[in-house]
Amino acid sequence: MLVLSRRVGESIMIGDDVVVTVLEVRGDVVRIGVAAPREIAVHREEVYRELAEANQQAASPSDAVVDALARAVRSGGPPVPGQGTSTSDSRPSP
Amino acid sequence: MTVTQAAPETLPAAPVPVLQFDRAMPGLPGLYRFALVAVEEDSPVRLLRCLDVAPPGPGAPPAGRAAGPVSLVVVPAAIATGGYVVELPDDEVAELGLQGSEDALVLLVITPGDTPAQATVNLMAPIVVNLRTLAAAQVLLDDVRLPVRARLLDLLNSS
Repeated sequence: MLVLSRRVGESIMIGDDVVVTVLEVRGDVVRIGVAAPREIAVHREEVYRELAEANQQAASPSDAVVDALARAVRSGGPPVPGQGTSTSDSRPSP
Repeated sequence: MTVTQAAPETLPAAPVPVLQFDRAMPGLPGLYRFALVAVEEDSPVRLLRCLDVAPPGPGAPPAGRAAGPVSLVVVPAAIATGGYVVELPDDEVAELGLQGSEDALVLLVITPGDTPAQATVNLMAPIVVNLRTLAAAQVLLDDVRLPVRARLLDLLNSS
């Protein structure tokens, strides 16, 4: 791992267009600003890993599981259209 | 932008809409196009069936899952009782080209358990679709209180 020392207000370039800036250091908390192109997603590591794991676990259930879910939501849930959708009726018609 | 939840009946049915992700979803690299398919006629549950081939490697679905294309079970956020509101960051609004909240369809990804009672729903990172353009993105909401794994049945029952 590359290790660099930076002061508040100083930055690091990653590649040609990602800039990481140290904004504030207070105790053991460091505030960091990241400027990156849109196609590069920036996340806190632990949140990204949790999301990636959840997506992988959610991926490609068997047909039987999908069918069971479809039945459960239809029978256990509010009637369709569901509750909490009152705003959909107030949409101005074109 | 605060997205009021679109009612399930606003889901386009035919022709089958194909959602286009500009950024692959975390954990599912290389997958950008997903068909939004109905499962049963009177259920709001939908299947996002990927039209791209998953690249080999750590992103491939683990053993024991259905073979073939990657798919995700989703349900419109409108089914959620208990005041689930999606506050979209401005950069996501711009990226998706949303002009108003009525353009947006919010879908929640379901992680199935062994039984529907064990299924969980990802409230922290919903899939937001622009209904005009079918551009889509999994949006990580900036609210640490939102769980990645909320029990599906709690969401349906807590009103």
